[in-house]
Amino acid sequence: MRILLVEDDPMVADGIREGLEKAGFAVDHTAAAEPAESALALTHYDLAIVDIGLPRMDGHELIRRLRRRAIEVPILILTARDGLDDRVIGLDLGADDYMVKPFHLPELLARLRALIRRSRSATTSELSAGSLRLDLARRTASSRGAPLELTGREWEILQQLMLATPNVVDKQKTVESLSEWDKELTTNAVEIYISRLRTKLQGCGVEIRTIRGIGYRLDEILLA
Amino acid sequence: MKSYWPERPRQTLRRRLLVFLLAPLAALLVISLAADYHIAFDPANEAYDHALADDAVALAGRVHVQGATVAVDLPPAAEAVLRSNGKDLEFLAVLGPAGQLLAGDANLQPGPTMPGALPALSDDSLGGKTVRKASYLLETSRGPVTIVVAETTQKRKRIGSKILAAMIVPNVLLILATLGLVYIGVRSGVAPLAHLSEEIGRRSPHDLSPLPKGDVPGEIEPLVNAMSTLIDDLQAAAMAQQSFLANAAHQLKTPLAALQTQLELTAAELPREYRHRVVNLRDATQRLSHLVHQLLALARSGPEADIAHERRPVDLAHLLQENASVWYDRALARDIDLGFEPESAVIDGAEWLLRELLANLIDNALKYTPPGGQVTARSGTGEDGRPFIEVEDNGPGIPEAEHQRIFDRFYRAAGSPGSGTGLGLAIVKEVADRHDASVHITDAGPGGGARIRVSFLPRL
Repeated sequence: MRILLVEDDPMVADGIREGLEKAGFAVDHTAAAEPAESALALTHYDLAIVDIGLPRMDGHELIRRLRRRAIEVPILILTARDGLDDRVIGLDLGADDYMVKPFHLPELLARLRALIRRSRSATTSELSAGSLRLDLARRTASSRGAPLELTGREWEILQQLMLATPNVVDKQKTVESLSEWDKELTTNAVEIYISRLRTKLQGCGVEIRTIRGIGYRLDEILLA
Repeated sequence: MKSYWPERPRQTLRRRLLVFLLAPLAALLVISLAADYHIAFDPANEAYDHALADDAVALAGRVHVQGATVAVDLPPAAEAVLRSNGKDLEFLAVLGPAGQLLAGDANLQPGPTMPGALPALSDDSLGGKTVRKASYLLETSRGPVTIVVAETTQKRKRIGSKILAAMIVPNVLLILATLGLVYIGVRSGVAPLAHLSEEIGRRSPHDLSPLPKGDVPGEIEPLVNAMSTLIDDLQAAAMAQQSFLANAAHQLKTPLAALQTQLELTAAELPREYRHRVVNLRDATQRLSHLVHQLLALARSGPEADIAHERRPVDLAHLLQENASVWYDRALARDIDLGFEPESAVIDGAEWLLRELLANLIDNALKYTPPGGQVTARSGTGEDGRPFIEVEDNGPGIPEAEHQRIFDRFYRAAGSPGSGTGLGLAIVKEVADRHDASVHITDAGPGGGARIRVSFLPRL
């Protein structure tokens, strides 16, 4: 998978490039926005990491131009500013996620993978996490080639979790999305589905965590 | 601000104007009274003098030359007419060419006279009384005869006091009326000033909007302009400080990010026996990053920070939900069960500051709760109708004696773990203050633990 890194600080760029390459990504780096714009227009990248504080054209302007040219690459903003306005402006312009410096490499990797996963699911109709593969078109799940037997509702919940990770799936929203007009689902029922999923997903390299009062989150179990 | 000098009574503009006007007005009163008195009294005096001179001439008409002698034909009835003069005593004397008394009072001496002139008037005293007298020189064939008529000054004095009395009252009233008018005039003239100072006094110390210039009188416009300039300068300084902080954040965080990434990579590469050293370095860098972040958050939420333009409706439940994942990971790392009870409650606030507040409340609870413990973050509307955020733990709780001090900057409670910056709760307090919210600490329950609640103002 190929990633374009737009970052003007050489040391930060070096660290990210090395970390990403170790995780199996191919990384191109540029220190300014102008070459990044043409690179993204000419080449297919799976994701762009964009620093906001760039010389001359800043990151916001780069994102604005890319989206105006209908370049749909997923964009993760990386910035040292953490005021509300910066966050809102970046996401409003069409960025997909936002991280504030200084950051942890593992968290950056998790966010990158999630963004790539989401954007790929739109084109390949496939989602993956750990050894788990979800075929969105056929509504099937498998782990290391072996199919997993899931009920319709279990599959729906797993899809929601995999689309959202590393973010939390709101339990109430899950209840609403699975309910039908004549058949209201209870939160208890969702809890039962989750507990069944946990059993079925053992050994797939993922874990469903309960965030009390909010919902559920699918985490990949990273092997150290 | 208290002054150490003894406070002198304030010289108000009103008092100063009144004092300045009172003395000259009083002097004017005296001068105008004196002038008026003379203008009114002199004609009266002249009329009396005229009557006295007439008497002298009339008496002269009664002087006859009889052969070699000069005689005065003054029967008692005529003398009575001459002497009758209301309350005043009237004296008369006729002196012959040799100065011998021909008729009248012997003790009445003539004043200086001129032959052929009208009777001359002069002041004198007679028997201890002030008198006015008219002396007249009548030429006869036997030589000059001097006629003197005098009267006491009772009626002149009385008319003088009457004139004076009639003038003093209206003059004093006039002065009082003038002072009253001046007082009212000064008051209404000073009213825009009072209005302006009230307006300035009502402002919050953070309000740097321009002063209203509507009905400011021309005289104090320079003052208002100077103050407006000062306010503009303050605002510019505040903005410069904010942008300095934003810049400082960027400048500090970028090298820290580089350092942290490099250390994370190095730690992963090193053989196990060297790794702990780099892990320590990495952890120290993380703490440094955290401290930088906290210091900037504190600076940007301080009393001088103007967050008015950052306020918008924020649902506290949404705040909890949005950031739950990040805090959940921190709790997971410490083996603490972090749960949420988000109940919708909307306030007007600066979202990123509120996120800092909540993050610091949760961090604080996670820090003081032993592994295996439980922390719950809640939002909702309290029984008092105020929207709130609260974080409850089942740690050791916060002793009553420390309830105030834990919000001080760099204050570390006894037995607190070593990794904190000591700024977390100070940030909570500052952010709460910026939102006019109050912070309360209570015991969480019989099992121990603390509950810190931040209660906000309901939205209007």
